[in-house]
Amino acid sequence: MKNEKLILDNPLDIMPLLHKAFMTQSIRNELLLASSFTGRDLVLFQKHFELSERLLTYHINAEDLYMTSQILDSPGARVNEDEHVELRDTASDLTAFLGEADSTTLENYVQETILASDHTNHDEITETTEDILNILSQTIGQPRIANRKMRDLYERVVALRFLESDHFENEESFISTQIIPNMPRDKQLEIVKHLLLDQSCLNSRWIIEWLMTRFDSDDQKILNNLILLL
Amino acid sequence: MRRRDSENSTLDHITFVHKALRTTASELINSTYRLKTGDNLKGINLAFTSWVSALVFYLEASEKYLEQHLKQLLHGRNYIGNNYNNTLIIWFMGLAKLNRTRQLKRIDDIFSILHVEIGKTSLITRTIQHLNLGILRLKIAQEDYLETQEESLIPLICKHSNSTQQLHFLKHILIDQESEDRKWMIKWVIGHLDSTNTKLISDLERRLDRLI
Repeated sequence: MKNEKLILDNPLDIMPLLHKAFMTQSIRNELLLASSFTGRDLVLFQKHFELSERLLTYHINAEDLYMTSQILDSPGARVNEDEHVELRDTASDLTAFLGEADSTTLENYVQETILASDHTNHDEITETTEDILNILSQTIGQPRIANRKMRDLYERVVALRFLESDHFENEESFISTQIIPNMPRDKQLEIVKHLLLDQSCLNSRWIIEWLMTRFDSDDQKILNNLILLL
Repeated sequence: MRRRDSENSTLDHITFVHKALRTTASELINSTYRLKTGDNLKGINLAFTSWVSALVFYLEASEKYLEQHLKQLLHGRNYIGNNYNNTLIIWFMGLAKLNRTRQLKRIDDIFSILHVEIGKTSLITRTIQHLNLGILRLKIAQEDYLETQEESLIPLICKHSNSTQQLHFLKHILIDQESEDRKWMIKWVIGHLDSTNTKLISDLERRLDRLI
């Protein structure tokens, strides 16, 4: 990247800047969740996380569709797609977990525990689960359950961030060594166009608008210069 | 299940062990978050080994003495419905087993990272992140375990044992009869507490000395 001119050598050199913005968003989510521990109010975290998931999902889907699927006979491209599957699964598991009612979390947890116990046979599981749920609702109470769920949630959010980080690092290396040297500039621009403009959305510039709120002034200029070429 | 402060039992000293384990976990998390590319793992490896030795000793002693005591309280081999104590005991036994397995697995995961990296001269970002996540996961599994003990195990055992029995449980948790340095665990706990708590556990140490 020629920073002094704020123009990219290759359109796909924008990728590390996009990844940096995604990672910053993930770190913000993590901090937001950590600060929600005491109040246990997840509304704000949920709102930010939904945006992150939307951005990430759009980004990796566009990469699969317009970048790697165009490269046949490349083990690197297939590895990249596999990592996208793992990211998608992890993010959607987290979303499902987040949407789960506390009572469902507790019931699943109790059943898992009963199965681990060697004091009951299979027929007794339902009866024992009901008894335990009754006792727990009287003794431990919702705050304790919520504590456990918050810890579990936090672990999942950190795990997703590290998964993203590992993937972005792999992908940037793949792009710089295998894609950029072998792909003409206009083809790269076409991919970038799909990454930045969501044609399926009424506001196709929503990703660019979000990036502008996350980039510093130099990165904003780089992005603006690139947009002029699209 | 929680008892009032005025109902303190001998076994409540177990919270010192919990405090030391929690402090160590938090310190180690902070240390790994401070790691930078190019650093080496010597300090982390030592701190982790020390924490895990204490944690594993505690897990084994809890299983062997505290949970065994609970098992004896369970009436009959099978579950009998509508029995408050039996239900709680079954819940705790399953939970303890689940949490212990989870902690041991996570300890293994961290050791695999440390053993692969230990020979290398410097760390890379990816290893640091894997280490951060591994230690965070172990800290969370440990917290689930300790919290369950505080909620279920300790109140139950206090209810169903006298002070002398409880002192014996503490002896097994704090004194390693199979080690050359039998007091290494209690020394480790003392080394991770503040001065007020150190004074309290030193009093306990003197009571345990009379038992040994």
